[in-house]
Amino acid sequence: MELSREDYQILFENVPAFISVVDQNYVIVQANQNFKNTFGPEVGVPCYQAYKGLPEKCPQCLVEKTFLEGKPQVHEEYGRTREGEAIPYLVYTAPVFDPKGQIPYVIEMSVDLREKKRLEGELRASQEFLNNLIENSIDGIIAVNASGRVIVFNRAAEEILGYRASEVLGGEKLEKFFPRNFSPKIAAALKGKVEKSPPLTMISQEAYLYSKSGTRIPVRFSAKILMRVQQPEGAVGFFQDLRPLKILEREKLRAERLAAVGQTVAGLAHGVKNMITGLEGGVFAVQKGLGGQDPHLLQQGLGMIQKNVEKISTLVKDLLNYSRQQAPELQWMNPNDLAEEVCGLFQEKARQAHIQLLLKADPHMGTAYLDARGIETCLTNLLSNALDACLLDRRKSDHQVRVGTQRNEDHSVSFEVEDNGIGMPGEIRKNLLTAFFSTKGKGGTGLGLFVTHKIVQELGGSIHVESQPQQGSRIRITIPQEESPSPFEKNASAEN
Amino acid sequence: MDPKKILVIDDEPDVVTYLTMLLEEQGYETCSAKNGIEGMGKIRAERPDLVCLDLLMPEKTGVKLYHEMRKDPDLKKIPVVMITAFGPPLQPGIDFKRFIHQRSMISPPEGYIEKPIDREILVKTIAEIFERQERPVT
Repeated sequence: MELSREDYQILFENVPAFISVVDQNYVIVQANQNFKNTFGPEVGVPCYQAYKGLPEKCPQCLVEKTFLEGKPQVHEEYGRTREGEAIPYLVYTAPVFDPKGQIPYVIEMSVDLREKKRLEGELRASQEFLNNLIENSIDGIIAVNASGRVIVFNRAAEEILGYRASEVLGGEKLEKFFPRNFSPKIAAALKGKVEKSPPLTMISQEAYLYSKSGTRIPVRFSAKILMRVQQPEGAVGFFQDLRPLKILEREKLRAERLAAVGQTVAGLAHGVKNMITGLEGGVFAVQKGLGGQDPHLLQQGLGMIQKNVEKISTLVKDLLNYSRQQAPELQWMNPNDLAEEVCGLFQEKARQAHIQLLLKADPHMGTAYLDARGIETCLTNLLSNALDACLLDRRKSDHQVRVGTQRNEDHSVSFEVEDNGIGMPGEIRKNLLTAFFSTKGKGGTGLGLFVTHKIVQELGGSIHVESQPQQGSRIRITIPQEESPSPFEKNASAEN
Repeated sequence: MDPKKILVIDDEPDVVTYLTMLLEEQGYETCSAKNGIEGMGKIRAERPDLVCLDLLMPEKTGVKLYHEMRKDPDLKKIPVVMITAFGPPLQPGIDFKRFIHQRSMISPPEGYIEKPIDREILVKTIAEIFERQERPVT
């Protein structure tokens, strides 16, 4: 079906564009209604005047180019409506050929860009606002696109991790900036291997990121897959530096420790008074022994003095040690080596007491991130208790203390000390970790398991106590661990 | 006159040794127990003239033993001297006498001595207790 002349007229007048036809003098000879409504009924007026209010031809005149080259042109222009409003428009020109091949006229068709520009402006403002939010967030914000490359790396992320955004954007991949156990799942989700909807969200209350210098940084991390029309378009991570919190935590523990020391002094009074009574008893016996020429009494008195001096000495040393203790110093170390060292310290004492001391170290232990000095204190305490328990047990003579290390399935590390000595009745076992010193039986020789408990607590671990009176005890310390050193961490290799 | 028999109850062996030596030097006969249960057994078996009692012990505390003694018509006349490491002001918040005497529903011990033990005070306290027993009640 062919369009009639009238049809074209309707088209000409009503198309949603401005149409003007200009002659070789740039004078508008015909224009559509849209044009007339917007720029004024300026037939007979040059186009540069009608569209732009200019007194002469535009410097880069598109119409001129069309006349010269005989080819359509397109360009974005800025003009002025008849109300004086600035108006951006996109103009398409087309030459009109006469039968001789000359170009008497050029048609200008323009699309009103005002709405588009307005929307663009709004979008820009909105983007700037969001950018502001992202940049000014206290938390680190990192986003990667669907290919896993970093596209957002805000100021907080720069500060926390020590990279400049310019170093990171577009280049690095997500493994470097998301927690180790998150990255594989995110990578899989970005490739479209999503397990189920809703879109994947992962939150960790304590994860680790690594700074540019390889330092391990504890963070609270929240990651989310960003979807657009059912397809993954990227992932974002929000994280909060936990180090200030950790410092507060340490301060709190330290304050608690000092408070405990204060309380301990009151609690210790009981034990100390008994020890002093023992000392005075010894002195009394020695005096009587000397006076009455009784060597047996002398011996007895001296023994009492010696025993109580040792008890007081241990107690004071433990107390000083405890109050002087620094925050845990974490480092990569070998738990098996440590266990072996501590057993070595007690080898002679065990031998003299005819107690068999065994070490069963887990061959799959590997290295662990622990406070070596703290664990040493704990193991020493446990071994000492175990040996004492055997010494106090007069019912059997075949005594054994077994020390074990184990790497558990969840990567945590356990140390265990088991003895077949005198064991503990329920009451003592219940209060074992909280009493400042074991009240009786062992004779109150020190802060004992209270200190061990504190150390284990500070490492986020736990203690498990099992005991049967007359049969023996088993104490197990478990410290949680991350899987293995991250490739991004500096100094991750163990010392040996 | 038969020497007075004193029972020493304390779970710390050195304290028992010391008190035993001290009391025997004064001419008393002594026996001992190392916890509340053994102590109760010995009181009934030996019928001591006086009991020296420590408070914090395993198996049965001195306080429990003391309450039992006072509630038993057979035993309530036996004088008791508490010899203990507990005591103000180092145990703030515990009104110790009240705790032991249950607000005066139980008669107080005849003696209360804090460790470390002052020999003279202990000897004098015990001597005075026995002296009061000899004197007729007015």
